[in-house]
This record gives sequence, structure tokens and C-alpha cells, in this order.
Amino acid sequence: MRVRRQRKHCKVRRTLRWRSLGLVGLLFLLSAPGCIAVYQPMSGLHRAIAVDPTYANFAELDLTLHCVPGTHLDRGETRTLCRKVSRLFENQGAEVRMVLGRSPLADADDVSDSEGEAATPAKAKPKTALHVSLASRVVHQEEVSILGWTIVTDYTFAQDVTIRDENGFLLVKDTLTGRMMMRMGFFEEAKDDFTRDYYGQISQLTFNAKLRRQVLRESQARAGTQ
Amino acid sequence: MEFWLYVLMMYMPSLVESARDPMNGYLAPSAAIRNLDCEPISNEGARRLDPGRVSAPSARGDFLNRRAVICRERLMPLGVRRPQDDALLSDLRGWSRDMAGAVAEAAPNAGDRTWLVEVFHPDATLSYKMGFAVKNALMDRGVRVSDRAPSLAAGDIEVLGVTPQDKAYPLACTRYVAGGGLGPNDALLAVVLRDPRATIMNAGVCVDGQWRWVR
Repeated sequence: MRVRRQRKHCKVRRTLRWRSLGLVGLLFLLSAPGCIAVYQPMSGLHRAIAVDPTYANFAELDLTLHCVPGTHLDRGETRTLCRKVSRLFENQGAEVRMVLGRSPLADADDVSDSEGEAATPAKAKPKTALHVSLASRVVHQEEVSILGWTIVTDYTFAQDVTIRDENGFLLVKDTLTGRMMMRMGFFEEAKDDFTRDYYGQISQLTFNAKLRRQVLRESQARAGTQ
Repeated sequence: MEFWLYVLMMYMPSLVESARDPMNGYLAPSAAIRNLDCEPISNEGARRLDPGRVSAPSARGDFLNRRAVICRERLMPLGVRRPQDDALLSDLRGWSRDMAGAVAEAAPNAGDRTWLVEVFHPDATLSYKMGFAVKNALMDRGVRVSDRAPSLAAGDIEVLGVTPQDKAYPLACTRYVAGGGLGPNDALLAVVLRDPRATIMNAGVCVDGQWRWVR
């Protein structure tokens, strides 16, 4: 009698366990999928890098960062990007001056609230070594809609990176192309992956430009002494 | 039921169209997409490249949005080689051609001399590969190339080892000529890794005992 009661008790417990497991699974299926961003580096963004962006790679470097608004990023988004990239360079030891637009001189309202400008100490004439220009554009955009409800947004973007020295000599020119897709899915790693790729490439390109400038300077110095 | 069939019919062309898309996969995109180098091209361009796969748009119009992307798989997957080696070797042909072009521009009478190529990189295997590629690129430009390596005396090497980089290469150039490592009809192209954090190689030429950075 006691054994039978124990078996019955065990059966009830097992049923409860399976039901709770099923409930957890159902909750997971209902809650996990959502609109996620998927990222694909197309060209340039996933190139191998040798520089470590956490080190002081740009110590004693004056850098002017030109961020150009365009079809991909509007003025506000460009400013946000510029701030983030500016912080990236500052963390690596550079002294950064931020300019919104192609012109070397920014509008007064753009410069006044920028962190990069605030971080620059007051100088009569800053000695700028490198001019980094970032201009983004949309290469392709596509949406899949069902009954007016957009379920997939897919776009390819390109960012033109141009780095010149203080005399306007072109040191590095490259285009970083990537693709983002917003769709239903389970796991999102796009933000971290893109951030790692983008900041890594920007750091590497700038480091290569710095090295080219150094070599150029040495050549000029030698030509001057000969 | 009819509603879902309608939805499926609407969505099906997109599903069929994107079946070959490497970004598909509802759990997570395949890790293989990082080993693809992709380039979007126009539909006309794609049709010219592969007319069998990309058909011409119908004269009455298309019901599908067509886009063409060319993807090439990397010869060596990411992570197999050291990052710096990978960056240098993945575009070896491109930069060695650029370097050969820079030499031809920097030394107008480059064709009258025999060029020696020396690669300054800590990895001997990589140095050999890069040296081979640069020599090939020079030969493609009709420049005479020698496999001979210029030599320096032990004392010179000792001094150069403690000299700063900006002075070491010009000094080495002078010593090559003075020690007979470079003859009057020889010239040296030095391919140099200036910093272990760089993914570019710099190039300098030594002609008649005069050193000059060209790239």
C-alpha cells in the first residue's frame, strides 16, 4: 500500500516536472525570438589587424577628425559616430579635434558642444598631424513587407576613410563595406561584432597612416640635409 | 488557413531568392561569412559575368527585386595565420606591384641597373615569400633583378643594431656601397616592416650610396 502510494506520488512529480519543462520551453520560444540585427562584414571590415586599440598607439599625435553627414547617417548620427571615434583615438593617446563636414573649419554650433573640441586644450594654433575623414553612404537598401508590415530590412553601407597629413598629402584611402539585416531571430551579436571590426580597422588604418607620415618626414628631412 | 497561404505565397519569392544568401540562418548567421570578401555589383555586370545564372530581366517587368553580390572565399580562413602575417599576405600581389611601381617612379633609370631585394621582417619564411613577390613584380616591369643578397661586415651590423631606425637605413646604404656589397651598377630595394603593429611594408631604395624612402 505504501509502495503504491509512493509510485503514484512519483508519477505525479514526474508529470509536474515535464509540464514545468514544457512551460519553460514554451516561454523561451515565445520570448526569445525578436527583431534582431545581423551583421556581415563585406570588404575591409574583417581584414586582419595587428594594432591593439587598447594601447597608447597615438601618443603625441594631433588628429583632426572630419565626419561627413550623408545618405547613410544624418547630422545627429554623424555627430554621435564622430564622438565615439574621437573617444577611440583619445583612449589611444591622441589629441583629437572634431569637425562635422568636409571643410577643415566646422560650423560654430557643431564644434561648441563636441567632446573632441572640449578635450582640446586652448592653443593659438593646434599643430595637426593627421586629418581623418569619414564619409558613409548607403550602397543598397531593401525591405520585405507582408501586408504593410516590414519583416526584413536589409541594407549595405560603405564608409570611405581618407587620411591625409597636415599638408594634404594622401596617406591612406580605404572603403569599409558591411551589411546589416534586421529580421526575426534568436541571438544578436551584430553590435559587438561590428564595433570590434570597425574600431579595429579605423585604428589600424590610422596607425598605418601615422607610419607613412613618419617615413615621409624622414625622407623630407634627408632631402633637406642633402 | 487561407490567410496563412496568402502570407506564404507573398513571402515565398523572397525566401527562394535569398536561399543562397550567406546571412540566412535564424539561429545565428554562419561563421563562414567572415571568410568571404563580398562586393555588390550591378545586375548588368553580374549578367555579363555569369549569364547562365543571372537571367535578363523580363521585357514586361520583374516581380522580384534583384541584386547581385560577388563573394570570394579567402584562401586562408581568418585565425589560421597571425593577424599581421595575414594582413600582409592577403594582398601580397597588390602591394608588391605598387612597390615595384614606386621604385620605377623614384629611379627613372631603374632598368639600367641590377636590383637586389632585401626584406627586413622578423619571420624568415615570410621574408622569403615577400622578397619573391617583389622580385616578380619588378621583373614584370622589365627590371633586372638579382637573387644576390648584399652583405655587411660584422662591425657594421653591430653599429647598425644600436642605431635609431631613421638613421640606420641610410647608414646601411652607405656601408653597402663602401664595403662593395653594392656595385656601381647595382641598386637595392629594401622592404621594411617599421613597426610590429603595422600591416604595411615600407620601401626604401639605395642607389649610388644615397638612401631614399619611396613608400
